[in-house]
This record gives sequence, structure tokens and C-alpha cells, in this order.
Amino acid sequence: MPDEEDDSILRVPLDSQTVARLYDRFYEAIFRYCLRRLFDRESAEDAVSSTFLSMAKRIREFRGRTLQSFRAWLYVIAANQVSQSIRQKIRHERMLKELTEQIRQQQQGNRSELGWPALYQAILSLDEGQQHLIALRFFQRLSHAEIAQMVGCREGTIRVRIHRALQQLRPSLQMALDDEHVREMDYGN
Amino acid sequence: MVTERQFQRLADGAQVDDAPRDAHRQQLREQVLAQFDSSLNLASNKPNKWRRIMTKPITRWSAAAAAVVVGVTVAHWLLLGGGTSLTLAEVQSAVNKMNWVHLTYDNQNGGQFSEMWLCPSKGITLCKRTDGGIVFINNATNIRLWYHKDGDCIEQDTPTIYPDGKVPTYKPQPTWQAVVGSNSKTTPQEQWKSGVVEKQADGREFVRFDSFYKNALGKFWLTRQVWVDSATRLPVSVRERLQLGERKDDAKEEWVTGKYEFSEKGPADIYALGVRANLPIVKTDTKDMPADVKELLAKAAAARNAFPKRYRAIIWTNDREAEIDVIYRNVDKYRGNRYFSLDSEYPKYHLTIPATAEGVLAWSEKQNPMSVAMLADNVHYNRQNTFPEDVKADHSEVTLTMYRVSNAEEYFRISRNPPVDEQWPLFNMGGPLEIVKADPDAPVGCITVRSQAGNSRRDWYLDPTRDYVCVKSVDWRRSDQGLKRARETYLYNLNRLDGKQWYAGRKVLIDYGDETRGTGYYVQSWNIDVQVLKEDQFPAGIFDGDKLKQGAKLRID
Repeated sequence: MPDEEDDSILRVPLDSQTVARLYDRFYEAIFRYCLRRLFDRESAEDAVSSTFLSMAKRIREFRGRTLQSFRAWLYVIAANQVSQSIRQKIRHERMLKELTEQIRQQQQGNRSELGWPALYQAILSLDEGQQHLIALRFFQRLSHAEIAQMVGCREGTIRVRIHRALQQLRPSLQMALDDEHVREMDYGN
Repeated sequence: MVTERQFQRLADGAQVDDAPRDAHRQQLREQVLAQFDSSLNLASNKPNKWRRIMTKPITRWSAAAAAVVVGVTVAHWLLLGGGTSLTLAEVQSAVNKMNWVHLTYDNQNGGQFSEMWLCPSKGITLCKRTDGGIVFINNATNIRLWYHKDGDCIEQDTPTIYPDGKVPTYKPQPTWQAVVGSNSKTTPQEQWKSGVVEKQADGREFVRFDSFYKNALGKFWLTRQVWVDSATRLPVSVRERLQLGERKDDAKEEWVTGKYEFSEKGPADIYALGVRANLPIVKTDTKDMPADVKELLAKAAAARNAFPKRYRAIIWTNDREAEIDVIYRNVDKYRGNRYFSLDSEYPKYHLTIPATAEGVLAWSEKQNPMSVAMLADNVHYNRQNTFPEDVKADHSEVTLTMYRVSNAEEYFRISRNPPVDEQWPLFNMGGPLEIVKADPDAPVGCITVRSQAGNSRRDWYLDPTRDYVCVKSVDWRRSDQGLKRARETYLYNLNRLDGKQWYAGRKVLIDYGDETRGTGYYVQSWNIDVQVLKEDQFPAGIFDGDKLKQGAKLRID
């Protein structure tokens, strides 16, 4: 969590040292975010590179004064880079192929365990905005309030959007969540 | 219901190596700092001149006014079709001389067809669907052939049902009308704007014609744009507004684009588009059904028609939080309120389960429904509310879609009509039906009706001792691995309404999932409560269309 003391990073004139400190502070978080959104490491590294290069190019236009606002700005850039990556068809198809293969391998092992490939495949069924929220909430472990501040809407709105996204995921996750087996039910009256 | 806690556990359990590589971190760090240093030479920390000028209100207002003047001038020029000598009549004339038209669509935003071939002079249409299906229609003989992806046969039916069964002599449509759009002189609902010249990068000159269609509110809106090569006078591409049902995301206004090619000859038949030549052709029209199936359907239809026309139905699930339907039917009026129970973190919107029908009704009366579907005076309403009301999403809006239906009977035939549809689902199903004499899967005393065509098979099990209610159904899907169970539905806890008609108090759905669509196995069950009502027992204003319009943005499609 960024604290008030750390905001001093952004209160001094911008120089290479400041950019380096910001980079060091956020590199891992942005990498993990991109990896959870894009599944394969190579695509994630590309998106991280584009994000930080874009940040370095445009940081003079950034008018925020707190680390929280910087983080929000950085995640917006990262989300845009992720979207661009998803729209690159060849890359996306390659990723889906790899995903299918990993799920197949996992199913040959233990069918009842929901691994990362299967969970990612389920998340892919959501729209990009919902995927962004799921990544921030459950993989970046941000609070509703933090996400609301980053996305620029009310906390209640975030709760509802995440709630709706989870409901959409329900059919795909049912096997992991519910061991109920209807064949044992008694047909008739 | 998947709660945040449950999902967090799944997310935590889905392990992945997410440690970044040091080499990437170091390499990128150097690149980032180099990028920052190089940008020093290109920009200063002060806002640039343009930004400094635009901070003054007088310059901002002046710039805005200038932009409006330029915009109005350009729009005026575009709408009046300045600068072109090519008329719509000339284009229509050129198109009408063409024999075959081939349309290729991009389907990024949806749409049913990826390719179409049309020969209006012979009444022939062939199309490749985005779901993999291939369709051939001969309007001159009133025959349609339909091949479903992975299907083991070709289905044949009649695209137009003529009352006396005789197909009238085919009258060819002009190619323009059949392929591009209607003639505004004969179709007052559609208006074309005169063309606008657009120079292409390769030097060619295209003229764009815009088509506006009158919607249910009587307003004309842009539905189609056609680009015409001014040298050949033939259309080269089209952009069409997708209807709600065709869109990938029905919340967005979406368009599909297509390219035209004109030729003297087209595909000879459905096989020319890749359908295997040795597939059998199966007739699926109702008139082709065996006599015993017709007799059974007549009995089931009589039982369905005897079901009360005035009732309240509550449909809910007691094993998890989910959608809850409260339905009122008063002969030709219908109202379906759909609620959503949030988990216990939101006590105001939470319904404690298991719940009785009375408990659900009492809870629903304090809630704002997520959506309302209503039919009153032959107008269908569909209202989507933001939900929950006191945490309304900033970017959501309350919308109301309206359209007129020809009559209530037709509406109930084609629209969702629970719980009647669930009990007698056979009537909306196509396909050649047959009665299976000895089916080991049939519940005791039930009759098995089977539809098998294309890439699917459906079995319905009707109970003749209880109003021919379909107490079980199984959907099968064919893939390259053979025929597999896709879904099963069971109805049980059958009760009598006022000692007369039977109705099922519980429904269970098993969905086996579809790997190709990324869906998994799941089971869901519902309770169904039906109360027969009298005319004066309906809540006041429940079928009031004006009330439903309040506070909603109208969407007309």
C-alpha cells in the first residue's frame, strides 16, 4: 500500500532517479497483473515493456501528486496494453492453443482440481472490463475502495460489477464449487 | 452463487509461477530510463503553447464555436450530397442488370452470415452461416436445405407456408431490391440520401449512399451505408447496423461490413459450398410427421390449452442465490419480474434460503426487479433496471425496449411463457418427430418422442396419465467423438391445480458442458409455485405500460 511519505517521490522535479524509483516500485505488480490477464509469460513481458516505455514517454503529462494516482494511471496504461495484445489475433490464437493443451494435460491428471489454465479460461469468457476488475481484486488483492479510485467510480459500483462478473463465471466454476450429483436424486414423486 | 470468498480461494489455489525474470527487469529498466532521457529533448515540464492558450476561457469558447461552424458546414454538405453526379437510380439500374451477387461479411461484431450468394432472377440464395451451417433456398420451388455443422444429414423444409400448400409461380425481384435494399419509392419506411463522393487511396472514386429506416417511434435512423464504384456504378461494400439478436454485445450499437462481387454464374448447389454429397436429406416439416406423432401432439396441445390463463407463478431456487421470477398471466396480458438475490454480504438484497413461495413473494415486494418483461394491449415491453437501486452503476442506465406484436397468441407461442413452456416444450421444436416404442431410458408409463436431425438429437418423455406433461427431456449433441448427452431436464413433484390440471412443482437441469464453448458441467434446480387467480386478484397497475416507461430510456430496434 502506498503511504503518504512515499508520495514525496512525485513532489520533486522529475528526473531519472524518480523514474527509476517508480519503476522499481511497480514493476512486479504490473508484471503479475499482465501475466494474469494474458496467461503466457512472453506476452506479459511484452505488455509490461510497452507499459513502462509508455510511462517514461508520457510521465511529464502526469499531473497527479500521489502514488495512488500514479498507480491508477499506470494500471490504465497496462490495461490498454493488455487489450492491444489480446487484439493481436495470431498471438491470441497461440495463447488459446497453449491454454487448451495445458487444460488437457491437467485433466489427464486430476480432474476435480481447478488449475490456473481452467480458471483463466473461465475468466476469458468475461468482457475485458470485467477481466480487469477480477485481476485487480483477486490477483492484485486490491480493496473495492482502491479499485473504485483507480477506475474512477463509486465503491458500490465496483462491488456490483464484481458480483455480476462472478455470477457469470458460476457455470464454468460449478464443478469446482459444487460436488452435488443429481443422478442420486430420486425421480418421481 | 459464487461469493468473493469462494472465488478468492479458487484464485489462491490456482498456482502459477508469476515471479518476473531478473533479466527482463534489468533490461527494461535501462530502456525505460533511456526513453525518459530521450524525451527530455522533446518536451519540457511546462505545458506546451497550445495548452497554455487553451487554458484561457475566451480561446476555449472561440475554438469550440469554430469547431461547431465547421462541423455543421461539413454535415450539411454530406447530408445534401454535395459534389456527386451519380444518382441512386443509376446505381439501381446497374445492379439490376447483374445476375449473381456474392457478399462476404466480416463478423467481428456478430451477424448470422459470413458469405452469401444470391441469384434473384432464379430465386436462389446460398449462405454460409457464422455457426458453420450452410443453407440453400430455392424460392421458385419453395425448398430450403439446411446443413448443420458436423451434421449427419441435410434437413429439408419449406421456407414459406402457403395456406393451400400450393407454391405460386415465382416472380423474380429486381436484384437491387433483393440484394442491396428496398426502393424508397415503394417502401416508405426506408429513405436513401443522395451520394457523397469519397476519394480512395488508390485514386478510385467511391460514392457513398446512406439508407435510413423508420423505427417504431417513427424516426428515421441510419441502418445501412453502401459504397459504389463510380466507374462501374456497382456497389463494392456495405456497412449494416446489426439488430439486437445478431450482436455479440447487445448493449452496444454494432455494425457489420460486407464486400460485393458480381458475376454471371454462382454455386450450382449446396454441395458446391462443401457439404458432403452422400448425406441423406431428411424432411422436417410438420406435415411430414407420422400419424401417431400428430395424434400425440394433438392430445398434448389440448392439455396445454386447458391450463389456466389467469395465474401467478413463482420460480426460485433453494440451493443457492440466483434469479427469481414472479410471473402474472391474465389471458392476453403477461408480466414477468426477474429479481436477483445477492449474497449475505448485502442483507438488504439477500433472500434467506430455503424459502417458501410466500416468503419469496414477500421478499420480492421490497425489491426492485432487475428486469421486467410485459405484454399488454399487444405491445411487448422489456425494462432493464440498474441494480441494486441504491448503488446504481455510474455508467448504467434504465432502458425500456418496446415493440408491437401481431397478437397475444403468437406472442406466447414464440416468447418465454413459464411454466407452460417447461411442461409442454414440444410445440416450438422443429425436426422430424417419431415415437420410440421401446426406450430403456423412458420413465415408467411415459411415451418417448424423438427428434433426430442435423447435429443434434432430442428425446422428450411425455406422461399420458398427467396431461402429457414432459417430465423428462434429453438433448444430445453430435461432435467428432459421436453422440453425447448435452443437457437433461426433469420435472417432478407434480400437483393438480384446483384438482384439475397437472403442473410440476420442481425442475432440475443438468448441463454437461461444452468444451468447444468453454462451459463446464453444472446442475441447477428450481421450485415452481402456481396459484390460479381471478380477474380481480391481480395487483393494481401490474400491466400498466405507461408506469413501466417512467424513468427509462427508450430503445427501439
